[in-house]
Amino acid sequence: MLKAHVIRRSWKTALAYLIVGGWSLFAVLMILWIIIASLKTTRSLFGAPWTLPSAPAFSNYVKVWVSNRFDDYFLNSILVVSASVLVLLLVAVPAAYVLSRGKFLGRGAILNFFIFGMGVPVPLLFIPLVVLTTELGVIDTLMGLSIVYVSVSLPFTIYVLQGFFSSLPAELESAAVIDGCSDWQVFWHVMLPLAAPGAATVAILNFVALWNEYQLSLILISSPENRTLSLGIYSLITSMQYSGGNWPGLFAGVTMVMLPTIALYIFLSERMISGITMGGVK
Amino acid sequence: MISKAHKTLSAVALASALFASTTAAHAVELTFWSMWNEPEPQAAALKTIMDAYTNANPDTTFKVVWNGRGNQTKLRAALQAGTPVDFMDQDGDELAGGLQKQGQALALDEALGTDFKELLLPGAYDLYAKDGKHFQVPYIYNTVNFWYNKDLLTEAGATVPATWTEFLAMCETVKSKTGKHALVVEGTDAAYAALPFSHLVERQLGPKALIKVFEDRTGDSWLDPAVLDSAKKAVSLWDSCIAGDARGFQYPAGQQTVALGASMAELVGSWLPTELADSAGPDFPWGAFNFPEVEGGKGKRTDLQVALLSMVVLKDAPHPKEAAAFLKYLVSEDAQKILVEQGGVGVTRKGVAWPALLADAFTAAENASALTNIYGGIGIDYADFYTKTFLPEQSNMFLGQKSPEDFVKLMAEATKKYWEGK
Repeated sequence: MLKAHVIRRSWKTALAYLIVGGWSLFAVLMILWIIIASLKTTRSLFGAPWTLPSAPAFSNYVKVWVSNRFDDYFLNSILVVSASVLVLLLVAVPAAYVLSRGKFLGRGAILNFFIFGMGVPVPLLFIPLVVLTTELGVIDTLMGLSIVYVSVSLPFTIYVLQGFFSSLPAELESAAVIDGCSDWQVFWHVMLPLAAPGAATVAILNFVALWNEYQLSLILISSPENRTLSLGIYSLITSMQYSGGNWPGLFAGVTMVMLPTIALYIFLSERMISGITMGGVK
Repeated sequence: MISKAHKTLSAVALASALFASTTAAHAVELTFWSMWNEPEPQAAALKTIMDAYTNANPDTTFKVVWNGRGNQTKLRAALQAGTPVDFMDQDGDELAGGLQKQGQALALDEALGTDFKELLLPGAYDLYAKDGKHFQVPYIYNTVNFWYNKDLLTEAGATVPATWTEFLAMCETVKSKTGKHALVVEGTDAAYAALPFSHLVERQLGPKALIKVFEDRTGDSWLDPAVLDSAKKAVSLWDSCIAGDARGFQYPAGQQTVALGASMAELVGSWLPTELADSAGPDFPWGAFNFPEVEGGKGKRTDLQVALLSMVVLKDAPHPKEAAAFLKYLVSEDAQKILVEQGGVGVTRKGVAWPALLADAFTAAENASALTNIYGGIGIDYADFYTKTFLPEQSNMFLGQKSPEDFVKLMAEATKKYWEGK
């Protein structure tokens, strides 16, 4: 009986490993294929898609980086996304703490308001955002895009962090208050350090989401000098019609977009996973 | 003495100020939103043209936003927000169903004059006219033809076909003599897959026939035997012309087989040689021939489906007259030659030869007896029906998932239902 149970469990584990392992292998192979494709010529890419390039064409990267202005787009993306995530944390962490721990009239309503915000489809915001950013004089600017990114990311971030703060033991706060801490000191010296894994998690999730964001930047950014990387990729794809298909160049651009998020995940994945499993999103 | 010098200086200063104010009053900065990205050769050509225009007209300068292909989408949002724009460019079909249809394009008849259409290749200026008014200035010309590898056709000992029967015979000959298929398609691209059927309907029933069939509110025109025959003929291409695995081809897999010499031709726009320039190489023996006539049909072999790229002046443009004057210059011989040489594109001006690669397409455009919008033109005024019903159902039929008989019946019912809801 026990043996049958152990065998059944082993099978389940093996199946789980097979599915997860197969999925991971597929993802890794696809990433490698994209990187290899970015080093080929168009002819060899389509003529022999599964072979290694005979002579790596690094010129694809040079062309995309210089001629297609990916140097500017990369810098724009770094600036916009970093600034947005920083401001987002500055706003969302205190807000989530207050919504989690504070006892005041309308707390539930405010929290529900943020949760409701998560359900608003982004395309519905296009026209109001264009009008608003124009009136504020920040349309087609990186600052305007950052403001919008912070605004649309707030509901999800506050929701996750609020759950995270709620999972922390109230006894720690009480002890700090007994020791003579003010509200601010309790937040700054006790709760914020405890919430660091949660804050890091939402920072990474938002960084990846905003790094890949496309729809809002397409609508709000028109000047080529203000384009982000996702718009750069879009312009590479669309310019293939009428101007020639630079497919290896496209894959070089995709690699440039992909690598920072992969690196981020490699270096910070443990912290992110611990944040998710410790917090309220488990 | 001092007083005299003072007076002289004052007079000079006044004259300078007057001159400056007169110049300032005429100085115009035209805002142009473009469908091209700055690194593209077409953008470089337009820059040269604008520079030449400014040299000839020092009071007119340009502020350009190189938006790329999402130009019209971005422009709509910008117009909502009150951004001033003088003129813009986009695919003519997209403009006709977009800014032009929404009343945001300026009628140009008065500014361009009645003789303007004589300057352009046959039918080009009138293609997007509505109720006798012209809102677009087409400046780049794309034809739809069979783009083929001349060496493969020669190797097969076949010739360019004039009729549908000859066309099918050519397919057989190419297959038997070279072991390769004469045609390829991007099987999963519903729009490209609609090209054979839309051409066949037009060859059977005449130019713009597909849209006329759809505009019959009873839906009965779909049941015309000629429409059913067109559907059957389109499907029959799989018998001897197209390799079966092309059903699963995802763009650009199909066209790459032409570049790599694995198949001979594709029915597509004249942008193909440019799109395949990297993989086909500079010496690829490109040729193009028109869709053949169907015996007994009303359409001619010289009727063309086209995709023109156009400029429009915005209705609320700050400088409409100056913008229209520039568009007139854009189709001048000098400007159009710059587009050909630097941009590598076909142009709309009569008598300006296209790049050598596109020589056959230029001949087709010069001799065009009638023009129809690419894919038959349903997508312009009836975009919803086109994308949700016609394209997917036509694709199902073409790929063999639905019989031609079921397809025409379904289209007849869907068309009737569509018009009942209007």
